[in-house]
Amino acid sequence: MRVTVKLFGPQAQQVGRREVTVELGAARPTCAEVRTALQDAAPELATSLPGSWFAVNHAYVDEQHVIAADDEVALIGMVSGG
Amino acid sequence: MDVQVRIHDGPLADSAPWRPADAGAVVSFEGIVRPMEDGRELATLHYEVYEPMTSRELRALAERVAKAHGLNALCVEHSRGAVAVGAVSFRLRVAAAHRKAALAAMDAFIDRMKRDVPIWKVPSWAAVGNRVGE
Repeated sequence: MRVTVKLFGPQAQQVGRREVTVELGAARPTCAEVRTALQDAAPELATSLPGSWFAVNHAYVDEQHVIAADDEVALIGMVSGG
Repeated sequence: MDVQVRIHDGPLADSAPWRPADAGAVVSFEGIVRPMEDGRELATLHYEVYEPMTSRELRALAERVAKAHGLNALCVEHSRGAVAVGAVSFRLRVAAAHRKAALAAMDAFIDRMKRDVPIWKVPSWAAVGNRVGE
């Protein structure tokens, strides 16, 4: 399954684009599997990826969350509000 | 308990007086864009949000903090887009019966917001060669 992950702020700047698409062998991958795939697809995120969370359809999820084909997936890291 | 959350385009304008009913203490905090960041001269901060998640997370945090500290009211405002040096990008106001609850709630909210809420700032630097010490 192909998963597109939205990026924001400094992480989008590091990668040079607003989203990264990864191809996974599983038909219903977990966020943990997406995280592993991102390490290879976007090595620029190596430092910030471990401290980042996933949001699916605008809600934080844990690493075992299973992603469906029409889900919106975002990487939430390096937040700096206030 | 009244909770208000607003995302504004650009800097926050001056606010009108805010005096929720039955409050004995009202505390207000404003975050202002500083002129220097990491020894470099800033021109502007660009704030990104991820709606509706940003507003949802701000509201959920506001409700948790207001309940935990027994607040009368809480109002949080944050900028989206460009905010120049010297302008206000964030405002938090809390109202409680007594001072200690209001001050503790203010601190708790800001600590958690900075850690958990999907808001990002991206700097635009002033002219090249403005790093301190160069």
